[in-house]
Amino acid sequence: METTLTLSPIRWQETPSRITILRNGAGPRTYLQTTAFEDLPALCWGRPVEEVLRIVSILSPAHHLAAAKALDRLFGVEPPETALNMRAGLMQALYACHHLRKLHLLLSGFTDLFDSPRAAERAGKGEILQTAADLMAALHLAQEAATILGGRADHPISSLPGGVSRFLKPEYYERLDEIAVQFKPAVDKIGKIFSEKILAEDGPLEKMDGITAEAMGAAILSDEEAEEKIRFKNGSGADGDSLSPEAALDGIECYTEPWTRTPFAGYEKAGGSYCVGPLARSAEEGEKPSAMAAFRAMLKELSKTAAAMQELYIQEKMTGPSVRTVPKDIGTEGAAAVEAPEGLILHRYRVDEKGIVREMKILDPRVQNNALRCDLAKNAVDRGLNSGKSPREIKGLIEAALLPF
Amino acid sequence: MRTKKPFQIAVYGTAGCRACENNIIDLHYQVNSFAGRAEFKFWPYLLGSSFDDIGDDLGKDLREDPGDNIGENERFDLAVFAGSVRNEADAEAARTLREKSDILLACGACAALGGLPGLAHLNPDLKGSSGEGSDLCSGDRDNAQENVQDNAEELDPALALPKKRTRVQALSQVVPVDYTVPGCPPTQNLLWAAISSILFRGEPTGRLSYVVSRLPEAVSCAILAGELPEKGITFAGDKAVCATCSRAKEEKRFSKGKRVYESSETGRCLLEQGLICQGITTREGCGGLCTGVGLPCRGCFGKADAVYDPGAKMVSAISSTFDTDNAATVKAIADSFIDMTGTFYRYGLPTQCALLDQNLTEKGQRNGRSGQNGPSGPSGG
Repeated sequence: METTLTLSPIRWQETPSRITILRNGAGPRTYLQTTAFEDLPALCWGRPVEEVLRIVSILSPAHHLAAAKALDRLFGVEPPETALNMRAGLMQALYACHHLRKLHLLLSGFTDLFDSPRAAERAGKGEILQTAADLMAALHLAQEAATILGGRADHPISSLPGGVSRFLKPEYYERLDEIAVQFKPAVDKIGKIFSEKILAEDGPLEKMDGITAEAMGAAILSDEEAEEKIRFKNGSGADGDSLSPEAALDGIECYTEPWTRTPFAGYEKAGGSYCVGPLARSAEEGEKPSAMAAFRAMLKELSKTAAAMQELYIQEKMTGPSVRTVPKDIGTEGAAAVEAPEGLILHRYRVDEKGIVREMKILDPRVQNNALRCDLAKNAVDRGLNSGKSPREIKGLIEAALLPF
Repeated sequence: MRTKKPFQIAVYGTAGCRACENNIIDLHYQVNSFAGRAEFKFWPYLLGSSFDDIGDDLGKDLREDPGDNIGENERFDLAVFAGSVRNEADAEAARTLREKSDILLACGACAALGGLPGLAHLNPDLKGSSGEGSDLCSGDRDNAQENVQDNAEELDPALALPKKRTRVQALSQVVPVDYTVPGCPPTQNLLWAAISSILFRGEPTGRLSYVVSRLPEAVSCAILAGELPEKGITFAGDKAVCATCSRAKEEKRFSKGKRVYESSETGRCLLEQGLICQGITTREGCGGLCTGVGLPCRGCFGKADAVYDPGAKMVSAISSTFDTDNAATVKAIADSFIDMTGTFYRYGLPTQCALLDQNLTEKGQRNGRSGQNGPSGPSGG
């Protein structure tokens, strides 16, 4: 007889999700189900293409920058260097916001973060509460930088085809400089606590270390910005194809399963499923994908972000004679890729003669990581059931395993 | 005034972007601590809380934990609902939270107005639906395997996904809402204003002075008197965004409608430059976030009190300022404005467009409740 176990909801997910486990004696079958609609291209269809810049950021703030790059190409304009620096500065702030938010959510698994410091101290959770406060202070700095550079932190608006909408006032670039100075030691402190305690091999997440997915391919945006190529690696870490955004958008197949709203992306020449994000960016040969590896990669990236902020958030980079090349004509198609904090994002728009969106393709990291997420969920369930864990414990394992993705 | 037992709060988000929910977390760190004063008892995103008991015998442990699931007798002082209502699970959550909460707060443009997901109604492939199928990776419906999820029951009934509803709806179109905080996402000061004035009413005014200085006078007076503000109010200004926009205003005369990509920053009123800026119809409260960066307002706070239908108001405002008396030129200028429906109702199509029948329920029945202040009003029925 088949029995069913539903673990719902899976916390910390961007989109409402649940796990359904079917058991009929032949071993459990685990399904990671996204239950909510995700139909952003349908919302953009029929809009003036420049308006998608403000709509796509509901997927994640970094989509705003992916759209901006695609629209630069659609309108055939090259943004001035200052505008590119401001966009790059915004991306760094978004890296910080994304990674710090994930780490904060991880801490919320240990204790009630809304508790009073005194109560937490009594319960032996004082250090976690303090770390969460430090982390959120750093997040506040990053949000301030994102607001200065993007107009808003959660849904940036400042990028336009050909650059950004306005110059930075002196008080803003001076404040960015201060933020960069303050952010570095804050991140160093957080990194130390996470490395030495929370993510340490014998730390509280030790049991997570064994939850891994099968080795799979990875896709990242080439470091050489001028080239803009999507580099694929296969499951064994060997280099594979290197494609332009257009070719990648054509070559990556998406398919939908009847039991989840989130599609799956695959690239045949990389062995089918592949992953993106901090894990893909830091992938070492032979390393199996896991949440622990992803969290460690995020810590390294936070440190890099702090350094990048110090390089970028200076008057010379944030000011210049122009921040915009105003387009003269509307093109027909534009595609671009960005390496966002959550992973590779690809956008392509096709428009009619008035610049109205008629076709649009977006590859979001959640779609590209969907196979990885399903595999991690399955592994967590198998391990949990085999070791006799309670549903609560299994749910906790799954939630922590999926949090970075 | 309550001082002992912390206020019990529920937070629920549908398929939004989590920005509203993350903002609530940020309030605790960036504005004022909730510690000892408010307790988050139910929050699927942050706590993994569930409406349902879980599964078969293996679910026993979870059922016995009062912290995760809503017990039969559990009630909340305040429920914060973020996101629009798109499927049956969202609607059921709205009904349950309404039933179990003393006060229900619609948080953010999606819950308050329908939000960006309402644009699905303008897609010819999806008109009349809430956008079935998932094509996050493609705008091409042929490749999207649309409806494939509807066959999930053929695999196993346990895998069935929540049914889509025929329309994208704001929270107030499903259940009565007590208060609203608009915005995409709501600004931190207004969100704090709403939560703190609802929960901490009757407290010394020093604690609430931050709140009252940002709200319309009538609301501020109620809060200072230790009373709940009148039900149905929106925690935002009562005037239009233009009232707080710092851009230089001269004379509004159009010779051509301008697209955002054609504009460059001059510091002058965006509408006067020929850009569609909805500051004249939109409720104030954001402080002109978008116009401050040189970009036109898109109405995420919903319409101002004095406006009946934001689209009609915009058409009226724009057409009265065409800089010509020549009919052919008027037509040419009018033609230069495109996608007016998708622009004027960017965040409020489900609730604020008079041309849509606002009072139809998902079953095609009239619910008999009329909205306030126009088509549906931010907190109308």
